[in-house]
Amino acid sequence: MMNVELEPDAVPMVRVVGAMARRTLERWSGGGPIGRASGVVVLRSMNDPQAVTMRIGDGVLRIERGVAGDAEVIIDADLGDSSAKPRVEGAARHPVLALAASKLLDPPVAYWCDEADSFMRKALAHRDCPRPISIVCTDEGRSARWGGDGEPAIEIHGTAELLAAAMSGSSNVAEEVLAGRLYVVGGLRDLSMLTRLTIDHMFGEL
Amino acid sequence: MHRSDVEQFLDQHRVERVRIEGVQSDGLPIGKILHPARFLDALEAGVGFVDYTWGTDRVGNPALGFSAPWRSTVVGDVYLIPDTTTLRVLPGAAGTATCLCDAVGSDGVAISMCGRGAVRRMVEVLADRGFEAMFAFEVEGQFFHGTPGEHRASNWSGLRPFGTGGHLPYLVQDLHRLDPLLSEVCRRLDGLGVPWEAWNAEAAGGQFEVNISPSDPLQAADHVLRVRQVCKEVAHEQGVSVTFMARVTEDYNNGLHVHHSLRANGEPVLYDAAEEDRLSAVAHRWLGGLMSTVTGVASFMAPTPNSFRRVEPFKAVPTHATWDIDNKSAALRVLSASPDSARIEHRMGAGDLHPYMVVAAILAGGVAGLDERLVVPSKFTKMAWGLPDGDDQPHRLPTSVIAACEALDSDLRLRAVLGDELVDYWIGLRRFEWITFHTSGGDITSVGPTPWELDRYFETL
Repeated sequence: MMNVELEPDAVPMVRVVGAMARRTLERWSGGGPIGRASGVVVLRSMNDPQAVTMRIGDGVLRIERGVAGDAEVIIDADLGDSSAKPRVEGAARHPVLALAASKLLDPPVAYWCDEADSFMRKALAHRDCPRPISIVCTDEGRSARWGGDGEPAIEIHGTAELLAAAMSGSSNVAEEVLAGRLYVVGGLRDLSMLTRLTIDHMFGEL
Repeated sequence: MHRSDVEQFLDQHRVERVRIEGVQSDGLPIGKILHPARFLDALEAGVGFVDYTWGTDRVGNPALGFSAPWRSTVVGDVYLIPDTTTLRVLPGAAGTATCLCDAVGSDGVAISMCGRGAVRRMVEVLADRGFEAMFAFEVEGQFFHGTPGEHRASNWSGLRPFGTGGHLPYLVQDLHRLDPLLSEVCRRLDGLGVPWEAWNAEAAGGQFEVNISPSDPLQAADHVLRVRQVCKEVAHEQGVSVTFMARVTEDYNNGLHVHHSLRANGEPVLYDAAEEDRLSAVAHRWLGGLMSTVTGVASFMAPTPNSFRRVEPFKAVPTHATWDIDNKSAALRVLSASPDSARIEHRMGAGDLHPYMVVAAILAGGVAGLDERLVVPSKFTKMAWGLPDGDDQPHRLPTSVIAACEALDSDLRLRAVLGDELVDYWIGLRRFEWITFHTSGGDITSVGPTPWELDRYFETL
């Protein structure tokens, strides 16, 4: 068992990292590097001033903004491109800590439809959630619907991988749509509200 | 004004074009230049503006994550309806008139994010209770040598303020250096009917404060809009730059203190010589409402991450939820020397605040106090800076955009009076600003504003 504690008044990156770690820990069995790790890890953006410090030890993961002076492992990552390889300092001297951090920052992502199911259960409890919502997986030719029958208020189209990322809280639907990676059929008002819910999901606050 | 009066005004002043002006959701002025004939047509039908003008952030990015019924399901129009009581000849621009507007939806009703509409609603709510309010702002800003374009080209290195930067307010030598700019500003304010009382140099180089006489709530907020715009125009014409950012440099803040008083049938009602602190029973209830909402109001007082850079002890900015008689470290400074001068100064306001939303929120808090006959907490007669944490100490005011959002979100009194639609939309915008700041280049851990922050706020504020 490991508790995740965020700094008071947490900045977005602290909330996102906290949510990722919680998702990892939900499926964590208790052993492995996460169970054995103790120390201070920094995750720093390569593209902007964002950085968080993760303090692991005594069954607690504490996350705060900024780069701590006592960091033992520093991970520089391209936060805008999850496929880019991060640069890691200190892994040779602190391999267990580095491995634990990499696991905490890389939660397992389920099949897109299962991730969507989990997201929709929470999202549809929100009074402003558009409904029905349809998701069309373009590389599988399969679709699914949540929130009732009738014409969907909004349809989201994308590949299984991108849909799973969006529904698991690993990416932001609006950013993906604006970047042309996901597609929508619907109104701006509904996309706006759906974006709110996916951001809450990213922050672990849905 | 009737249409015929407007026609007469346009003829009399040989107006060749009219600049209509409204404010978008962050309080930035927006407008169009109209042919006089089109302006006359617009008196009833308004002029269409794409509705995402109220749905983008201050640099035009679509601000997703919230919505409101007045917005089209896709993208539609909102209409600016001229308020002809504000029609003026624009000083310094021959043949041009200016007119402030209200933003209405296709149903002709002011949208919730129309600042002027929000103030009008609160004025009506207050009038229903038999009162009217007067407001006055102290507008602080800062002039710099060079144009915004030049600053941007140099990545904001070497911003050179006007004046000595001698760390002392009121220096006469700074008055002299700022005079070519502010004399022209005040001349134009006279032309626009903005009742400026005084201006002075402030502590930072190039920093100034313009004091405006009390007016009704709507006019008072209009005056802030006018002062900011006139300063921008004078700066542009003289090849310099001006900003109302809450913090432009590492050392100094631009605030926007808000004074207000309450009247009934034209007579002041906050003062009562026979009561404690010379404050009437109405004043105590009103203050009870203001104090019960002082944390929720913070989101309106400090709308951006840059606003919160000024929230530091001993920087003339309140840090705790306090009120007191003539105590400038308190959030609410109450003055009660005489019936006519009795007023409340809200000292939390940052230079970049949305004046209409702030006026509406202050009135909403006061109204809640009247309606619920709230009891004002004890005044805090000590210095309200540098206080330790503790149950026996006043609450700390929010120190970030998101903490202020959370305080407003849970403020049921402000919600009840202002309405959920306005509050939710405002919180959505602020939350978007906070996310954008932190995830696209802003750095709250830096000592002062970074180039990213100056790029985002300097020119528009």
